[in-house]
Amino acid sequence: MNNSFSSRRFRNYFLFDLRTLRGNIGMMVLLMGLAPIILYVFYMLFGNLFSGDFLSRLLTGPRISGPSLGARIGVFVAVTFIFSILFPSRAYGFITEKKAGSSWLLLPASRSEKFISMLLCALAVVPALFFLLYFCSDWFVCFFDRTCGDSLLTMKLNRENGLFNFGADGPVLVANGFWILYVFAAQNIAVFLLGGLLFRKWKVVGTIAALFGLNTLATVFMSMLIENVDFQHVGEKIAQWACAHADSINFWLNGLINLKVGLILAACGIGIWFRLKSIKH
Amino acid sequence: MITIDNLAFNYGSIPVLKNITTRLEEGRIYGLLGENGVGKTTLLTLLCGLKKPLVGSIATDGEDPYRRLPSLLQKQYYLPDEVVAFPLSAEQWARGNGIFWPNYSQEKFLTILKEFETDPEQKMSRMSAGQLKKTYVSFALATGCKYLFMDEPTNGLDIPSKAQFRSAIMKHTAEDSTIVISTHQVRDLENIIDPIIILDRQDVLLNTSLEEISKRLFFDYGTTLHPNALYTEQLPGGFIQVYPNTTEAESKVHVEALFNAAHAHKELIKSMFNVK
Repeated sequence: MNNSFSSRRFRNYFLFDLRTLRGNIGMMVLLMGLAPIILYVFYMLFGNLFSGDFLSRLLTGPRISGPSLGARIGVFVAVTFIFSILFPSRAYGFITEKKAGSSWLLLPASRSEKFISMLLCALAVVPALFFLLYFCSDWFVCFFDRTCGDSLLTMKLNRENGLFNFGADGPVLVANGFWILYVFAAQNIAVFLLGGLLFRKWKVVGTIAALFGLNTLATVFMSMLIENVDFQHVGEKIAQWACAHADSINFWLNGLINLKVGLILAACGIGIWFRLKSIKH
Repeated sequence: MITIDNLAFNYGSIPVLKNITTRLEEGRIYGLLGENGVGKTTLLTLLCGLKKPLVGSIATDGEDPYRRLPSLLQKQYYLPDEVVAFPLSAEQWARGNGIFWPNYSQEKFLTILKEFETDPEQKMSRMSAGQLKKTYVSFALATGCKYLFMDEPTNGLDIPSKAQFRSAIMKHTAEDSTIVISTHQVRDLENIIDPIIILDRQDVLLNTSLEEISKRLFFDYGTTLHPNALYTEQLPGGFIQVYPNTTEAESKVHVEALFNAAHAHKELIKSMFNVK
């Protein structure tokens, strides 16, 4: 018998994992994915309520415009951030609990199958479902109320630099921007997944506290580094390099961001693997 | 076969198990007995691979259970004292989990559950503790595992269910299965467990078959007090007394009296049964 990886066993486990996730975070994905509709309802309700003359507007219909694309992008980023830090520990935090964790650990699938399925679900399947649901409900809001402007789904793939392009048409989400948004969400998911497996209680708060501690250490380290670095010399070198690569600076910057996120994902992946290996009940 | 060699385990600085060496043979239903806190559950969790031995080793068919390899996990099932109530019907839950055990039979699960008079369509989260236990016991037996580790399986079961449990264990386990049942409710299980393992503080007091026990100890259910009794307890209409069997007379082992006799005369019992 192959104790490392069997495609049949992996398929069975992956489907089992999806069913478990449906029970653990199904409602959460649904509620957060439908956030544009929920927020739209609240926005219009309170917008009309506090702009006066509410009763007559009940009869004549709302007169204020729906939330603009810029506002919806802001909400999208915020909801994505909250979702990415909350769902991993909800989805897999049970592994550190004695009862549910014991039964999970003793389920006849290999560690690599459980690990791959976990990463696949946490980094691809669940975010994909969330984004799909979010974009569809945002599109529905925009379709229902034309005053909202373009939906997030259109994204205006104009290959501009940066997350947003504040052009003549207002802020639009660009292709690069969406990738960067996804990789930052994936980075959060990986970090909070590791936190959810490391901490038995207070998983999200514990992870935030640990990140705070790590950032403090990094700041101390950076301060020591700054003390010993000739900034003028380094600045000149960077400027020279930037001038020499002016045409491809976006490529390099995106590459740098992807490298940083890749390193974080790899570090979290290694941490998750060893945590799964060493967990005891 | 499970081989435990020089096993030791601590919780922090508190030793729980020390220098345990024993073998668990195939085709037996072991009764794991001991006072509260002697490490019965710890031993079970070590046997199934949920914990790592501090010292020594465990080998189940030559494999280390702590490595949690699918080849061994498919052959074993651990039923803890406290189980999770999933928001699924028993039938759905069993079908979803059963696919991981190659010998699992959904039909067998439903049959055992029916014997326990439990509705497979009922949601587990709405079941009573006893019904939930019966669902898990049914699943454990339906997995067709060679090694079954059960921690207090009769806790929460009503009187008819305890009889049904004994019957299900005898009926639905294979001839070569090794079943280890940790329990305080010895009377619930004394007709099915053989051999008996008695754990003392950090040590094994006894790991012997009922036949061997009755060869060396006599269980007297009479009305006359014996001067050499290792343990005496008054019962309605007489006594139960345990004393060395010098005449090779046959008697039915009274597990509770055996347990109390072993605790009152640890060294004597160990030397009598050649426990190292």
